[in-house]
Amino acid sequence: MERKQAPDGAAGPAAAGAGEAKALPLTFGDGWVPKAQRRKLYVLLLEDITVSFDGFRALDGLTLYLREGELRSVIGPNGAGKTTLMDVMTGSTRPDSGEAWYSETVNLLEEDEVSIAQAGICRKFQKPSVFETLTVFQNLELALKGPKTVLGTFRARLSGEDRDFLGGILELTRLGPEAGRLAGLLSHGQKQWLETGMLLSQKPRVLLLDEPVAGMTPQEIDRTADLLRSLEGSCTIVLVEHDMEFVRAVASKVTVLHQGRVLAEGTMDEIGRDPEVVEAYLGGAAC
Amino acid sequence: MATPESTGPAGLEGAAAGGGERVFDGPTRAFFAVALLFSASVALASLLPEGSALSVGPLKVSVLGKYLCLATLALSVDLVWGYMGILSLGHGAFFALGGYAFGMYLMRHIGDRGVYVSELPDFMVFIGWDRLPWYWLGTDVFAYAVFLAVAAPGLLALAFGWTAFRSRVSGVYFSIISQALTYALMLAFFLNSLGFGGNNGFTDFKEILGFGINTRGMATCLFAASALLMLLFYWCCRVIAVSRLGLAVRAVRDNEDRVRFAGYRVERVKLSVFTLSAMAAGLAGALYVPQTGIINPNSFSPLFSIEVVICVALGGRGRLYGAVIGAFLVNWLKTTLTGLMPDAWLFVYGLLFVVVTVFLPQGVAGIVERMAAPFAGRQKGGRRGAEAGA
Amino acid sequence: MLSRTPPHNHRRGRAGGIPAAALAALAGLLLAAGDLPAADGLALQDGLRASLASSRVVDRDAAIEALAADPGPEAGALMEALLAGDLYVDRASSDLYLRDPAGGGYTLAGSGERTDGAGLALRKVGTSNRQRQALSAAVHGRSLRNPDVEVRREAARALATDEGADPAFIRGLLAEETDARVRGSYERILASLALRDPGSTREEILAALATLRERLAPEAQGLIRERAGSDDPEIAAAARATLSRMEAAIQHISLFETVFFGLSLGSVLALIAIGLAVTFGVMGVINMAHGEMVMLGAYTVWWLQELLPGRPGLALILAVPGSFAVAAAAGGIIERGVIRYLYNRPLETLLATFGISLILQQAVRTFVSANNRPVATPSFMAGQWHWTEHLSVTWGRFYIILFCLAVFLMILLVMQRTRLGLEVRAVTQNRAVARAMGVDSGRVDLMCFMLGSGVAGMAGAALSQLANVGPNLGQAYIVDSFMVVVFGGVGNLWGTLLGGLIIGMANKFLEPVNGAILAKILIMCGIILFIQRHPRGLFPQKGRAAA
Repeated sequence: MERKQAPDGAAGPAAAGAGEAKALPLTFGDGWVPKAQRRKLYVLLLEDITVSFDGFRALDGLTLYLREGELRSVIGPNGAGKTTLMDVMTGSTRPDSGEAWYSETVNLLEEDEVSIAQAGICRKFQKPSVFETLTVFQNLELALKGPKTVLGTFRARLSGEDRDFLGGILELTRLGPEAGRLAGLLSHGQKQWLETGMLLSQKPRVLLLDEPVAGMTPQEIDRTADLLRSLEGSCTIVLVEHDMEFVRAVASKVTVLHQGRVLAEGTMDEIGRDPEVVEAYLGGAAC
Repeated sequence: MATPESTGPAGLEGAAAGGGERVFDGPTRAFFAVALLFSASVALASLLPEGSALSVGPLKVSVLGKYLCLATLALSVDLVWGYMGILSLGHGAFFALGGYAFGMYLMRHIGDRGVYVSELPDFMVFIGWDRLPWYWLGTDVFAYAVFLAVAAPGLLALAFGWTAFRSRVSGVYFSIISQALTYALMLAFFLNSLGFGGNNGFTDFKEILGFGINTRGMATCLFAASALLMLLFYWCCRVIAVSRLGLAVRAVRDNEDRVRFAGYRVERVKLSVFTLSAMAAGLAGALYVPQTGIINPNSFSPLFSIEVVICVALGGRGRLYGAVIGAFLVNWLKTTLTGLMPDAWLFVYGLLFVVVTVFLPQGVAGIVERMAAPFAGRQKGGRRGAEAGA
Repeated sequence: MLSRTPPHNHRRGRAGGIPAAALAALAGLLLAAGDLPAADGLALQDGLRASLASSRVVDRDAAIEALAADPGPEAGALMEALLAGDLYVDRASSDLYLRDPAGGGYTLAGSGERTDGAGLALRKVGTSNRQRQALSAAVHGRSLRNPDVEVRREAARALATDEGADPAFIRGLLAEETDARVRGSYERILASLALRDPGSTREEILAALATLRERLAPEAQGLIRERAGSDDPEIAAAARATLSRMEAAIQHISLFETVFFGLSLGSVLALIAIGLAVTFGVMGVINMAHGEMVMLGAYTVWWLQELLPGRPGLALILAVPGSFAVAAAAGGIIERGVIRYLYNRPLETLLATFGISLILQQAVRTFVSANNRPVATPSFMAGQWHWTEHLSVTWGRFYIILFCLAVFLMILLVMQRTRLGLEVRAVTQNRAVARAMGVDSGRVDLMCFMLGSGVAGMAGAALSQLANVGPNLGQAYIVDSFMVVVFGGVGNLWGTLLGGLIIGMANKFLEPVNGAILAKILIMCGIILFIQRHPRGLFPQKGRAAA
């Protein structure tokens, strides 16, 4: 992994004050960034997050920085803390210590799930979680970004623009022909896409995807990869996956978690060569 | 379930909520037609001179009016249960509160025609009070009494719902707590010291807005008002159901967490719908009392609240018209059976609960729909079946 | 391959020991079980009978004297009856009859024959005040000289409320008495009498007040209060001091009583709630007919007492397994017949079981009676144990607390130590995996439901001793038991026990302050607020997401 100097010539680690001396895993290519500027630079910032459940440390001093528009994969063995990481990002779990900021101003430790979702962090669950008695289109419409007060929801009407937008999502997720079908009747893979579509409908800034291709056929996986690649740049994506081929196909940067902290960060190739990662997760053979 | 016509671009167009689905869809139109026809004929028949072949006596009119009030109550339960998935076993409390509120108005207007010839209601004189307690003030004004009939249950629903939904009490736990609520209220209203008539309740009403209460004209008026209320509330429920809020409500029933992650404050959605339903129930209760001539704490009994739920279950929940059908059916059954077999009718009643839940999960409406399916298939059949959520 | 010990051997081995122990316990209890007192056999002299039957006062005076002199128990019984107004004479035959105040029948003095009085011209044998005083002295005198110290204590206590007692008489008894408690009672009585006597001297009054400061005498409160208003400052002060001591002591006593009543009510509630908690934890269903299981258990007691007239104690003991069996059977039928078809639909199950509860209530009303049924309290339950002179505990309530705890422990053992318990816990935590491991979840459901219902039945048997037994018995307690489940949580049997005890005590503590109804209302509000912070109760269920 490379550690370059930041272009703005900020002082290096030697000039850092006490408490910064610890080597924090840096975002690829950024070098060290002074604390005051970090929240501006990174859309998602987690520093030294610790989460314990009854004595078990799910996250142990984890630090992670995400730039806007990245597509980051988070991999690691089971129990490494990936789901807990997502829980912290959505506000479902409060860490015992550490800092977590979204988009410079949203303190993830203080806001509740709904506010965070409204602010643009949207999560897709491992098990497809859609509204089974509503149609595909209705699922998307409900998730549509807009005023979500009770009265606002009551009065909401679909504008032509909205229809086009939802139509676009239907195309993207290849659910156009199923628009009027009950979501409960979709296949597993289709439900996964529907859920992804619902997230897109929310016009998120950050997408958290928890094993989006679990249980999919190879063709479906390919299509999902296409979908994700097309999204890169328009929103930030955090992808938790076990399928290494898929990760290789979509992700540029990979973060490896192990026992609640970041073990390594880099491209697929780089971490594949890192002996610690190989030992902890990938097995003896290099990828 | 989706027919070929509902997929494809045409399906896309029609599948949207806030545009494609209309308030007065097929079943709703049919229902309104039947209801209006029925109400109009009964109202007209009641105005015919007595003795003529088609006339309907004020007693019968009142009974039908009561059924309509109970139908409105059933609708309110269907809204929160059939659509939102919250089984409230205490909705009768809202109905009864509205009834008591209007009952206060009626008691005030007995004036000095009571047994004790005093401006105070008889029961107050009997327990030795010399003044009206503060919570009775203003109840001699009609508008205020009506307002109270809506506001009191509304406030209770707000308070209760807020505490329950905020702590994410749901499912069976919520049902039990709501039953406890109505049970506690029943106990409270039985107390003589509360100023609501104790176990005798309110009765012996004389007039509304200056018109005698026991006249034919008044019976017809009350009947018409009950019908109007029922239709109005039905329409309200439809408007909500076809809006995006209706989608949200059904989504809450399906998968509450996902709704939260979609950015909705689920507690507020639940609270709003719950309070609205309580207010409608209160209004229905207010109309019910003058048509029954009495209200007592038994209206708060858990049994009454569960009866309403069975009405909805029997009729078929999540369909609105099912609730109305169920209410009429159950109450008609009750009236007939208590006449025919006063001892054994509770057996039939209890059996009804079991049969409906085990064999008729979709209720009577489910049967009706299955029979009508071949005819309705050409329309957005798939989606209409979809409406009938479990 | 998994090797499993066939369950049968396991159970058979264990089963061998249990029936033997049960039989032994049963035998012991039967020996102790009380019956209604058998009637007296008496050889009454004709002369005595005639005197009592006579309308002349002097005759009856003589008869009373004769009875007083007769040390035998038969004479004592006659005197007591006469004092209580329960002695009747048949005008035709001059036979004497003792009326049974509980049942209303009559016993023929001399033969013990029972009759309902039809066909007899019965006239009550009346007494004058003076005669009653003499009778009272005689009756009390017997008890007060009885060699059994318990009888003396009881009699001395009773004497305290007898206003006509003669101080000289009591002083005489005091001189002979050895037992400390009885002496204390006498001193107390003498002190009260001194206060009552207008002719008492100042020193006597002060001495009396001093005595009463040491010994609680609730019946003398009025007298002391009078003295508190006395002109004499010393007396007034002494009286006030005595009063405050007394009030403090009375408060302690009523606190104790409240706690005790609360525990007995709470333990029954806990027992009722355990069945609910188990079925809810395992199957996720709330059984609205659970109250009727309690009712069936209570009716079993009544029915057994009908089958075994005159032996209510035996009936009650047999009702313990009996009520379990009846309720468990009913529960089994309900589970197989209805609930099994509503798997995974908890709200529907709620409704269906409500219908069943209606059916059961109506069935009892139709086939038994719509009115309450009388259930007798056997004598071993009715007795009181006097801890101290003033703190007394009804044996019955005490036994109920022990009984409920015993059943609770038994359930705990079943859950922790038996194969069934293991399967129940497995299914509760993860039904699918348990089934994959070979557990028959359908059978577990059935067993659980029957167990829960059976326990409720036993709670009903206990309840029959505390409350009226009628078709609505279940309804009266079902909402409370729901509250216990909601409050205590379904994760842990201890939660149910704790929840039940707390709610029972809360009920009893709030009652005197606000009345029983407001107490209930307050408790419900309290629970609703408690749920705010702990939506799943004190001990929430872990592992499986409750409905």
